[in-house]
Amino acid sequence: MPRLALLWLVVGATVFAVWLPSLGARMVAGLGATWAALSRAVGDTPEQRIQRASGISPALVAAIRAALPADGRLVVYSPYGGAEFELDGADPRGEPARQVRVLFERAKNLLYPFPRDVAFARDADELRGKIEPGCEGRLLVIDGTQEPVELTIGGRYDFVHEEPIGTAKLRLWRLRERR
Amino acid sequence: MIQFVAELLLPGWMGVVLLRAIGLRFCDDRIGYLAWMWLAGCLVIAAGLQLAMELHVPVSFRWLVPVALGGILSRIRALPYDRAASSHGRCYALFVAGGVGLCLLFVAAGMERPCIEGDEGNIWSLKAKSLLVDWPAGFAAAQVHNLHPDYPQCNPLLQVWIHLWNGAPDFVHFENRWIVQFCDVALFVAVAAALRRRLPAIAAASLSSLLLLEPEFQGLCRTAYADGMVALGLVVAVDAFLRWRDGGDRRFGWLAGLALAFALWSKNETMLYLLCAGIAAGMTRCWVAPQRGGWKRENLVLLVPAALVIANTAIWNARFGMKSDLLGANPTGKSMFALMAEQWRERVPAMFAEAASVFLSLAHAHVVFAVLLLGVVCVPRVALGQRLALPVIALLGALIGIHVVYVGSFLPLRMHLDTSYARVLFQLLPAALVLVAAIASDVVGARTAGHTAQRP
Repeated sequence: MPRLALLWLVVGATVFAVWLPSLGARMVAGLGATWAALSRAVGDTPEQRIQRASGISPALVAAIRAALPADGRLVVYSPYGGAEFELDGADPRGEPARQVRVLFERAKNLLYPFPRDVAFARDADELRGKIEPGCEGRLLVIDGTQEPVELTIGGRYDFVHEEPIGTAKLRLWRLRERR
Repeated sequence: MIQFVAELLLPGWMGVVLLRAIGLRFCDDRIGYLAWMWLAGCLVIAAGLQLAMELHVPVSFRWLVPVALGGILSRIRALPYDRAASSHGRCYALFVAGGVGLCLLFVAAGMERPCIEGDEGNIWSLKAKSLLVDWPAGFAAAQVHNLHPDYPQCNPLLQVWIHLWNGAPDFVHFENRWIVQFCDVALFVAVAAALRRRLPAIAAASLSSLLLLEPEFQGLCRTAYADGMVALGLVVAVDAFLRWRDGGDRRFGWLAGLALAFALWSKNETMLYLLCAGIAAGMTRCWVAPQRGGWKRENLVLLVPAALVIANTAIWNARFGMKSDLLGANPTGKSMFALMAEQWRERVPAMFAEAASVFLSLAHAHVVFAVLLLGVVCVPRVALGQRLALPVIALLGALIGIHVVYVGSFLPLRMHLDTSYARVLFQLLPAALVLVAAIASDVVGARTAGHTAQRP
């Protein structure tokens, strides 16, 4: 056998002999988490699993669907900016914008097709842009503002629901009058 | 119970009838057959459901069309086959059964999280739901939030199959993944069978374990991402192609054609891989004599399923106005090629560094690519010889192609790499494992033959 062929076989066998235990050790280390996930998957109801993974409770889903007509628009809003830094995962200034996008995606995919029209806004101007003429009573805002103030951007709103998430909260507002 | 049978056993039955139609039986490969069966069954289901949608069959009756398609396939006169049975040995079968058990553990653990995040929620699952509640008039408009509306439909159609048995529009958010997750289980089985065909049991088991322990594989088992489907299609295509070229058994030529079609219908990257295979086929003609008839018409027929899938996806995207972000449908408005011209100085060195980092990372099994590359350098007469030149060059071309796409990506490079690089590379990893095994088998075989030849 040519020396290079033998060398390749030896190198290949050595590589696999090193990598297999390394990957095996990592998998064994992760088995506890896998087992815990399996326990939750088997032991919890779908609603509990959805709430744990997404932060969206059955009560919030019910409140959205009760307050919003099927052709209405749901806007996930958080006034903490960060849009210009969103795509740089290492930049903490983009974290608020990333959180809004994640909540938007979860809500959109969980609720589809009631409603179909879901959007997000990371500052007041973006929210105003989502409020179109004639959308009174058909626009619902999931408001991530943590300060104890009413939502007044782009119009007057009715308070619908408050959802505690850990130490934070999400409030649900329905547009009553566009301004 | 009836629901479970319908969701997961009917695809198996449909796979059996399609494989029977091309002449393949369980005895041809008692391990590999199970993976081929699942792949073939998924093809029949997806084709049947798309047909049902095009015929405007009411939602509650759509499941009947794939079943009817299976019934028609079961009436096709099977191609002749050899009754010789293959056996992998009982110990190896037990190893594979254990591996499948581990895969099922990951599948079940995936039930912890709903299918509403990442690509599985934003691309695949969203499109599946839309195929049920927006078809056809509102379908295009509903893709406004889909990250890649131009991706092919096999994965969403498979999820539609599950939704049909669970009710719509009150969608399930966990069970819809099962049929896709089982493609990842089938991937392990297909790799185990392909490796065992070329290596002794202990070596085949070691290399198969590498796949089983790869974190990307475990992640795919938990989710409805389509990358495992691509990997399944590619590895079955490579394995069946080599079986066909080695033994001249045309049934494996058909299996390779169906597997290629499955990969093409799973995700757009396969178009790149097919292009690389075409270039490799052209290149290798310079030093490898055409085998099994080369480009003869009877061989080109084997590519009909792949051609149908390509045409179907192209017509679908034209019909609904869906374009690829690589061709300019992105916030920059520039095509991948224009962005490449702008970004190559900065990104090519970064891609080399990333490739080196991932290929040599102890946290991933992607070192297989490095071993394959080393094989091309150390044993070129085998790796680029008559038997393996085409698939090896195609795979190396595909590897280069993936990196070129990142050079021309409109997304920030770090973010794009972090969210997809190891996963997309994984699509090629099982096929690379099989090629490494084939090279090793030929090298050792040549050694044995050489020793035998020297005996008096």
